[in-house]
Amino acid sequence: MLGRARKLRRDFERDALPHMHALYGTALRLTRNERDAEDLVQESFLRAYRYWDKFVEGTNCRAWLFKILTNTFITRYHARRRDSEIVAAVSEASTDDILSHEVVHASRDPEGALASRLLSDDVVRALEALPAEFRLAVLLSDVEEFSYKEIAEIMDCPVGTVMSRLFRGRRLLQRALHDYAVEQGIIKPVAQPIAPSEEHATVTNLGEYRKRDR
Amino acid sequence: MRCADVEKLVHPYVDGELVADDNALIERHLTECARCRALVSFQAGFKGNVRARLRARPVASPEAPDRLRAAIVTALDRADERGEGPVRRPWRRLAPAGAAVFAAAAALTFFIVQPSSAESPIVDEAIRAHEKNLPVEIGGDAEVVSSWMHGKVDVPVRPPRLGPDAAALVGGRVYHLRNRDVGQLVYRVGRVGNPHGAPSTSTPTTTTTMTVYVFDPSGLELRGRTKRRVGRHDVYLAEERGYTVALYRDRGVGYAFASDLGEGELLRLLSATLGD
Repeated sequence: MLGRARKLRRDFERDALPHMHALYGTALRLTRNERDAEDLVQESFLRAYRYWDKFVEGTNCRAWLFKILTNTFITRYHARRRDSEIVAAVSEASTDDILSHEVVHASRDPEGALASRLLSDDVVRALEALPAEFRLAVLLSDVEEFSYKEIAEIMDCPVGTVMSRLFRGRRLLQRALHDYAVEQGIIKPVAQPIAPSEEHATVTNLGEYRKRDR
Repeated sequence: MRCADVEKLVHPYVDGELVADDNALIERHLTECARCRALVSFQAGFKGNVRARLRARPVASPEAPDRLRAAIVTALDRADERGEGPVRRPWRRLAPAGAAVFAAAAALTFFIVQPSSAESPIVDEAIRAHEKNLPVEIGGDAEVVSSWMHGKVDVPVRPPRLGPDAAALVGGRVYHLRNRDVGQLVYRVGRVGNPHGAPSTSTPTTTTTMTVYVFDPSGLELRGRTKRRVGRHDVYLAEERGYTVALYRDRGVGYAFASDLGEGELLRLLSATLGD
């Protein structure tokens, strides 16, 4: 191999490969099975390697790899048509309803400890039940701790969409875990939601919101 | 800042995405409002606990990460050998006479491999999948493999009979191609003579692998650079990077054959299974 090719290969193993574990964890939650997750990660690394000379050293390698993973997932595994039906159904569910539950949950569980009192399997199950776009937003933010801006680049959508998917994803997750906990007798069901304050729309454009308030 | 504002901003607040001014306003409100304090600590706590729960969970089976890493390194090696890594080499295994001409032409071409627009995207995916050389999950004869596939793939997987002398079924696994689960069958095929030269004798001197994908073809277009008639079937053929792919539909089930056999050898095999 040429000297330059050898160096690029070495750099790739040094800089890109260490992210395999994080990518694999995310791939598992996205594809929901081990075999597909391995294929997805392998294919993503191969693509990354092919474009490695285009990657600027010192810039955000982890975000770049996650972007490739996301694109590969969407191309090979994500049946868009089916998902848009699910998203439409979720939108129909009342946002008011979800928000009022959030406030009640908070008053009874101010540490957000519900997630820790259930088994990891329950949390995974609830997460994997989310539509892929919401699931990915939650994974990138809450597990991989990317910023909204990074997530927007990875998912190739505006920051407002990231926020919308993330907040709804979290709320759906909270509702699902609450239901599991009730099923398992860990908590008693909520009798009457406290009336939430006025205006329930999710903030998805912080710039606009700030201007309005001034 | 009122409670309604805090409710709206709690997620970006907890994610550290607000500017210092907004953070200060929220924090002042929190000192005076128990309800919002509970809301904020709930969201922050929930987020942290979800992360902890997902990270604590063992990632699949314990040997999976090592296996995956080994597979990736092998794939990188193969990419380097083929000149498909970040430094791309334009020539492959050509006879010396052709290399100089090809190199000159290649210097002017765009290196990134793109599937021809005349072919189905299946062709490219089938070749990539074939190259991965994934191990079979079930070994055995057609009956064993067929019943293992039952329920794992949307269509019945009946391994094509390619003649007892020409090809042997090694086994199968499930693969994910074009947004669906497909049956993947691996065959060992004898090839006549020297693959790099004219056929010398009729005794097979080398063998090669062939991968056959069996799938539900709905929503997929079977297309190739050429079309041949074999028995009562239209077979679409495509060649790319040294591989030949054959596509056809039989009784509503799609088949894709991928190997480094030449077109002639591949068609001979197909006539065994499709011919009258």
